[in-house]
Amino acid sequence: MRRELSAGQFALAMNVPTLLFLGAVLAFPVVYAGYLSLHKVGLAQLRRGEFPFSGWENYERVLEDPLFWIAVKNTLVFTAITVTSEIVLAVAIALLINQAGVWTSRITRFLILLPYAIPPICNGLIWSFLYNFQFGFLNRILFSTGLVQEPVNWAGNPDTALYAVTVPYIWRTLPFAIILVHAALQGIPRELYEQAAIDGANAWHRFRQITLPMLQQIIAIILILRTAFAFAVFEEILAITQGGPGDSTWVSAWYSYKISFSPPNNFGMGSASAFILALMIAAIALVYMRLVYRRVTL
Amino acid sequence: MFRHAAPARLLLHVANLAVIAAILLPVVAVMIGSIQSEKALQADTRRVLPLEFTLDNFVVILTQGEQKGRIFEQATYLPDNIKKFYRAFANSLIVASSVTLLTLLFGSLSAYTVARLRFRWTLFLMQANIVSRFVPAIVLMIPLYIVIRSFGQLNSLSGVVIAETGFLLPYAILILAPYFDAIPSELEEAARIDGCTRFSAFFHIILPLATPAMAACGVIMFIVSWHELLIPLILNARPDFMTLPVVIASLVGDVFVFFNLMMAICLLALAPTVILVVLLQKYIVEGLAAGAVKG
Amino acid sequence: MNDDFIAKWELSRRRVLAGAAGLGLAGASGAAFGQGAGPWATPPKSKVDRLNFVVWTYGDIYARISKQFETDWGVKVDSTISSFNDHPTKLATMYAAGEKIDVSQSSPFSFPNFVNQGLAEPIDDLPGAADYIKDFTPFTKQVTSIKGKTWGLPYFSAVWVWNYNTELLEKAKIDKPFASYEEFIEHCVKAKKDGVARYPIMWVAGVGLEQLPGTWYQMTWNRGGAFFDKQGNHMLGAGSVARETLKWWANTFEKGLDIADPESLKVQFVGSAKAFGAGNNLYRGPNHHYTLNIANDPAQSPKAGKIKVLGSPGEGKTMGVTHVYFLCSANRDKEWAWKLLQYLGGKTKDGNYTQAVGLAKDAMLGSGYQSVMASDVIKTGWAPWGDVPEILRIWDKAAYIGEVCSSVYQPWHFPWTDQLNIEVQKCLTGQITADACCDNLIKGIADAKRKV
Repeated sequence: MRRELSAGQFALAMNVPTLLFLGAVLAFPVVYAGYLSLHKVGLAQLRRGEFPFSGWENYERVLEDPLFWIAVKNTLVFTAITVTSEIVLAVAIALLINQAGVWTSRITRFLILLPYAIPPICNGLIWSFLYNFQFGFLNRILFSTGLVQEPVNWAGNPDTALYAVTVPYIWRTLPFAIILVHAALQGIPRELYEQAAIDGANAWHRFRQITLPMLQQIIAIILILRTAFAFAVFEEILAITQGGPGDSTWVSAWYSYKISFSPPNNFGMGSASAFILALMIAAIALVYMRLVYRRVTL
Repeated sequence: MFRHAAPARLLLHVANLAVIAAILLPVVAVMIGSIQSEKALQADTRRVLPLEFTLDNFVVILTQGEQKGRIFEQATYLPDNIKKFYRAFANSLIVASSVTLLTLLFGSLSAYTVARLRFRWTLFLMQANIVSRFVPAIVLMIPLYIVIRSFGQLNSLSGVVIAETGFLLPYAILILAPYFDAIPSELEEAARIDGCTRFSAFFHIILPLATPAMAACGVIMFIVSWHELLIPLILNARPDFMTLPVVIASLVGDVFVFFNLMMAICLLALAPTVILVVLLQKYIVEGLAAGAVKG
Repeated sequence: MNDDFIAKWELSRRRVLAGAAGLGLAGASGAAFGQGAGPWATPPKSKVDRLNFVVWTYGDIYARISKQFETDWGVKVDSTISSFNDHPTKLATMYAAGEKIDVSQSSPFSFPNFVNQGLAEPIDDLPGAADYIKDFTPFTKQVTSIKGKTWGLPYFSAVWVWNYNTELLEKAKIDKPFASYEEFIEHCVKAKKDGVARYPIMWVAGVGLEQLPGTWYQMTWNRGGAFFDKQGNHMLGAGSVARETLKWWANTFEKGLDIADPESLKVQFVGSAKAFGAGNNLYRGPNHHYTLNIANDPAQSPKAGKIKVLGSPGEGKTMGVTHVYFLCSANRDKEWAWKLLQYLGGKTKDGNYTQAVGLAKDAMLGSGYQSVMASDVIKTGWAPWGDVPEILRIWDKAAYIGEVCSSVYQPWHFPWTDQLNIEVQKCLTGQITADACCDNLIKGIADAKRKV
């Protein structure tokens, strides 16, 4: 009889590195962030390593800061716009590239992952260049096509800035959603369509009665994943508007970043605000878990 | 599947062209932006194509500031970090490769156990992995900083590698697990009957079969790691250890100073992952789909 | 004079010549030349193998001075360089992590904060410090003097000036640039009406510590107001100069006369110089004088040579700042850190204000040292880019920014300025009135105090 590990021991041994990494890099820091949020943590305290306990004070300060609530509002608006746009666009474009008979669809399909390949910070800077009021590329194109006479202030106008920032974000993250919908489309049996066509349904009916219901699951997944990620948007804000003009593009992640890393470096408050953001996202994660785990047993 | 009538086809072509234009817009912008000089940019603010082209932006970056070219001759305020391009590129390469290797290695070990051995705690681990994907990097920043510091790994590439590996491991496991699950378990059972240990069976039989999975996961890990900004930004203060995104982010403060230089360096930074995506699209598509859809 | 002293003097003279030749430095013509074996030429007794400093970026000035330090003293120097806005963050994270930092840098706005948090060390008792302090300009003294001690050496000084575009002025058939705010509005409205400039005025109104706030501070000061009185009470109430200035300023934007370039809200000093160099605006609002070297750089600016400096209206009251280097309390070795600090902000081994001279010649920066400001370096160094006598005249009329807005000395100034940027931008874009803005800021003082 060979001496070898039992199933349980084997599983444990194989997972040791993973457990170590998850513990050190994810689990512990998250708990520690919670711990920090209950203490007074400034530069001097961090260096000394002693943090006086301050109870709920950091949370109080965060919750009574009007800028925090503006950031939450902006984040919610941003998320709502990007997620709904992405779902609509992902379904539309996935259907588009699924048209095997149309040769331009094949080109589109070839290019579809390009935005995924661009580093977020580069994306932000490129759009910063596109949006620039004086000499931005977008305005140049609009002049050349005669669509506008005056330069448009995309990102410098507080009324439009938040919407302006959603565009690069959607551009960058859309391929992911498209791929998912596209994969789901492949899973719809052809017979359903053929049967429906025989029964006299036109394209729109086929879409509404067959495609859309079959895509429900994947749309729900995209909805949840993208919502959670959009809540944490950061790079585009950093590159394009830095929260401005005014407070129109202050989002939650930016708020936590500024509170922690701009003087007077109140890391305690920063941790508290980040923790609140994490809790909001955790709620979304739980919904995701219930949804996915109800269907599959993996 | 269905043949479209002519007007419908036209509509579809137009739609495709619109999507293609939207995809290519930023790419075209960055390319045109990087071959201009600031002066040309401002001299005529309404032309799409500049009057004069120049490769000086690239020259400055690729010669690390030694050769300033015509347009930067007198500029005394060139951002210092521009000169660290090669170093930053190398750092990004080292970090991304290491993270890819480590996540594939540890991820495959874990994914295999999660797929095959259904203990309560492995299922719980899977759930933990799913939840981990949702943790926003911002909440980890300060504690991570302190943890990495206590390992003495601040301002080092290894610290960044450790942090990114931990951050991306759940995603790797999520991508790999369905692949392992799809491999029929009869193969290992046969091997074990022949006297193989569990690990042998895993290593010699399953792993080779999972190569497409590893390729898919590996490419995604590389891309995500190459793009990562927050973690190296916080953990590495010294220019010697900055990765490309960090160098680029450090130029944001000067973004209105040298747009064209910024575009040039962005172009250089995005080239590797674009090439990867173009070459390995198939794998990426599979990997992305696997990582979100179950079963 | 004893033999030792003479011997040391001879040694350092040889070193000076060798050093200058070896490094091929364009020598310090006219500046306070080597004064012999001052304390800056003596090596500390201890030994270190490396030193570092944490600063914000400015071209390659740091590479050069680091190399010179290594050549002169044989100690390697590392630098951590970030953008200006990121610098406080970078410094904070490094300090909090327990890293060794020998020398760092600060704007006047963060400096009281840093001192209060214990990041800096006073320099009064260090060898040679007294001489430096004697040579400080008034601005410099006001920045570095906190709680009765001196806390740093100057990096550069700047004053706020206006700019105008001679070409557009001609096109608009205006003889002389404005001398009063009424004339200013007249000129701008005329230029816009005649089609000479769609947006005659480019303001510096981008988010920052001294960019947007600086414009407001400067114009308020010029009109005879201030932001806080001597007791520390705010002066933002109804009818105050600050409030009225804001009203006037906001009126130049879209919701009012619409003569202000929308780009103003995004640009900082250098950015506005570049934008102004495109030649679409008649005037550029209060900005740091040295950015003329960008607007008038033939390689970068289409309008090089056509941008001129202009003093402020009325009596010409304006303000200035000095940015400083300081000795960090997290240093490896105090004496060596002091040595490095001197290379950045004081005298190098050869007794010259090498860095300050270089900055004046290459980047039109002012110095925090009276001897440098009075020397030929300024007169010849600044000449390619602007009218030097005019700038120096403006300099004489400049008060330290701390007199304009004394909250810079308070630790809560930083978060309050964050709010100020937001509220003022909302006011300029017409989302709130100047009254609402000032009222919010008054309330914000209490909020900011609690964030500390």
